Amino acid sequence: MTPVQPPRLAAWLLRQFGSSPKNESIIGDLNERFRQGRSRMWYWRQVTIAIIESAFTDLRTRKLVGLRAVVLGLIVIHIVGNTMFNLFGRVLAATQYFRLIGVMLVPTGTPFPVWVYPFFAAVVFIVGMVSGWVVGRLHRRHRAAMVLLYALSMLLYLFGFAIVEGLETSALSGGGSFAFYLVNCTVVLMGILFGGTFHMSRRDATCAQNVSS
Amino acid sequence: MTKREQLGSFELMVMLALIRLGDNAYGVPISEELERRTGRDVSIGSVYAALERLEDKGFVTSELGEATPERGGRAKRYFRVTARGLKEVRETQRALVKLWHGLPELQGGKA
Repeated sequence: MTPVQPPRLAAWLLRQFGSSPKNESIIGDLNERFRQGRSRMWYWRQVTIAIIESAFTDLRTRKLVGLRAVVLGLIVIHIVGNTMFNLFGRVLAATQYFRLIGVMLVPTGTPFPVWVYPFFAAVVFIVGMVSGWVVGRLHRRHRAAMVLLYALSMLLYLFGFAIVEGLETSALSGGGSFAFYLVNCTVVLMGILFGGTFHMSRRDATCAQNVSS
Repeated sequence: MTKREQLGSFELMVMLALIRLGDNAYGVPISEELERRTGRDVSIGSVYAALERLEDKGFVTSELGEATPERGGRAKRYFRVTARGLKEVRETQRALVKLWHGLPELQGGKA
């Protein structure tokens, strides 16, 4: 009988977003206990706790660096967002579905055709990815913790924006649609996390393992 | 009074588990020992987070050991209490015993 394998995706997530330099040892320990009869649910729970705990441990003594990462990320996402929407916004504004007011891309209220959704999501993803990449790149030694902190603060920012400003004023809502806003918020967060780990090359992983040993 | 690194309550538990386990102190036995002694679920991530803080404070050192197939070929990381760590545990014990002493609410093991 083939032995049950530990969840690979969970181990991969821990390797990408765990801030501990001892991630490989943690995965080894989790695999050992999993093969002693622990469930997949237990494994996922352990990975989630390990990611959160290691980020807190990393940020505990680096609060100013964390603040810098968040501020930097917010500045970059605004610059890149404005640039991208200026470029692609003109394409969208040429259609009947959006119009540009200054640099603001505002839906006209005409129902969108299907192609608008992936196009818009791709632009949002790229904006998130570039900002996540910059934050990760400039905080290489504490990459995972800083990218996670930035993603969390962006989540709070988007949530706060929706409450304070209302969905109608955000291009992410496509004219007030909560589902459209939710999807685009998820896409931008995915972009940040993807961009933040994009340059996590094999060489970086080896360096991290060497530092810890 | 000079400022010194102190042990948090979970860090103290991890230090005591390390002392008990001796040469076999790596993630799995440490978390099992803590679960057995405290009767609570202990996550491996929390144990490692505490061990890293203890390493930063100079109370613990670690080194890589052997890899095994059930670990997916990943090496075990063994932890050891340093002389400074042992001294800190003794001082914490002394302070706790002094604080404990003479509290009628805590005598006899009943709340």
